[in-house]
Amino acid sequence: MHGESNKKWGKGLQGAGEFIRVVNASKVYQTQDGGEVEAFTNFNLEIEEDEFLVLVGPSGCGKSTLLKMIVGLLPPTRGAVYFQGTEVLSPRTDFGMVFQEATLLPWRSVRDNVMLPIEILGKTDKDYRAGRLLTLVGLHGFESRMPYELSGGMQQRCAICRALIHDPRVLVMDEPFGALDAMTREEMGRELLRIWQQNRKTVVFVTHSIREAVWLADRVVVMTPRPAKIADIIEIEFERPRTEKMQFLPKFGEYVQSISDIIAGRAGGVLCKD
Amino acid sequence: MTFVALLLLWEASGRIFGVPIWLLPTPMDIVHALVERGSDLFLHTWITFYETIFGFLLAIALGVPLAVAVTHSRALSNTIYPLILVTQSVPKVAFAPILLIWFGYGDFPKIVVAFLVAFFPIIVDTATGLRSPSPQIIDLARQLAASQLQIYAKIRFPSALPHFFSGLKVAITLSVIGAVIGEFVGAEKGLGFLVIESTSHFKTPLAFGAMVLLALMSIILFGLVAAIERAACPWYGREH
Repeated sequence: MHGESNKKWGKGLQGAGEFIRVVNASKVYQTQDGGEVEAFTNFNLEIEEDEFLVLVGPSGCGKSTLLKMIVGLLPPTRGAVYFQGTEVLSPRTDFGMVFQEATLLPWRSVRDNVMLPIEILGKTDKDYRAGRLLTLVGLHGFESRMPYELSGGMQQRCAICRALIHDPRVLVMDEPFGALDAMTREEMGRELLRIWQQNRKTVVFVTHSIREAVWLADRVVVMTPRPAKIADIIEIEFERPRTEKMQFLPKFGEYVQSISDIIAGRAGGVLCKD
Repeated sequence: MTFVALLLLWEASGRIFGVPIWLLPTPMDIVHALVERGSDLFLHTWITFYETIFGFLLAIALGVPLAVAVTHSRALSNTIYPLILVTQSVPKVAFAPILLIWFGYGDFPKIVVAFLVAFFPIIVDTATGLRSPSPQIIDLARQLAASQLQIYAKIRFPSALPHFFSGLKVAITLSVIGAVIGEFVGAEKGLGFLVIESTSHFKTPLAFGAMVLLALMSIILFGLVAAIERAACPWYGREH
């Protein structure tokens, strides 16, 4: 476990070495009435290559803002984000994004939805990745179905394929299973781990479910309410691949308990424990 | 069925109570008047039809680019919307005589009135449609460094189609009304002109006949737009 205090970085070290690094980043929003709201101030975080990093924290603590900053959609007001030592100044096309809603285009078939990033990037799917990815997520045979013919879970699988089609270096997921029912959610968690096991990449994952965080993550970053800070970072020391049984180990409960305590201590128990 | 029953009731009550034909003609009287009038009905119908269509197409040709402009920039939106609102607040019936002074007795002022009434629902609905995609899918496109052209072509325009078509459905029926208003103010041809002309001679059955033709035109044009809509966005309304 790392405290906040040892997350400070000297100027000379900026961005060097790490895969993704957020350095002293602040984001200030202008409100309608001319005031200013700080999403986060002097935020520091480093993400290692191929790790599964999960962010948990109260609603509106700037997690989505942080994700937008990491993919280069939103410049920080102060500070910087580095990807492999290079400052992120424009959208990173080698990242993939998944949101709470599947946001599929309703006039496109499953396959054509998955192909959207390839089209935008002006590439062709010469390796037939679309077909292989759809098979990987269990959508084989649904290629020409329309989104409205799919269940919520299947739509989200399609959205995951869309995020992976251009073989991104980093997969950014903003509460991807938040709109699904509890059973589908568990299943999607299993699926995601399976996909990740076969298609290893860096994942930055936001969730409100502590159990989901512990089950999926290599490290869980617990955030405080606005302006967001890192309350603590918990290393989850379960081996990979993760199995269903791990959820019933005493150690699992201890992780969940300690994360809940951190959140309750700092945020007054805003989070649901699932 | 209800419609046929109502027609029969109308026909029967007209005969039983002996309502004078110049006050309220029965359906048979109307059909009779139309048949009697004969071939120049086609000319009048055609005139009103093409005034409607021209005004309608003009409204699409101007409404869609302006909807893009309004969506694209807040500054343009703040400039264009008040102007459009002003043109909408002026009653077209009041404006029509002025158009007559400007453009004379020809077809053009009718086309302009048809255009003016159709324009508003088209720009408002299209702009709403262009703004309908979720911020997330736009973020996804931007994160892939999509150009504005790509965002419009692949996301905004297709998303806007259902809204665009609801605008068109309102606009097409309004266009017919617009063309008729234009003809009321001053014309020598068209179904609106026919209504004015026949009522001034107490030829009420013919006036009713012209109205029937106008209603038919409206319904057919509406049906046509609705059919194109179903062909263009079959996915719409089936999302849930």
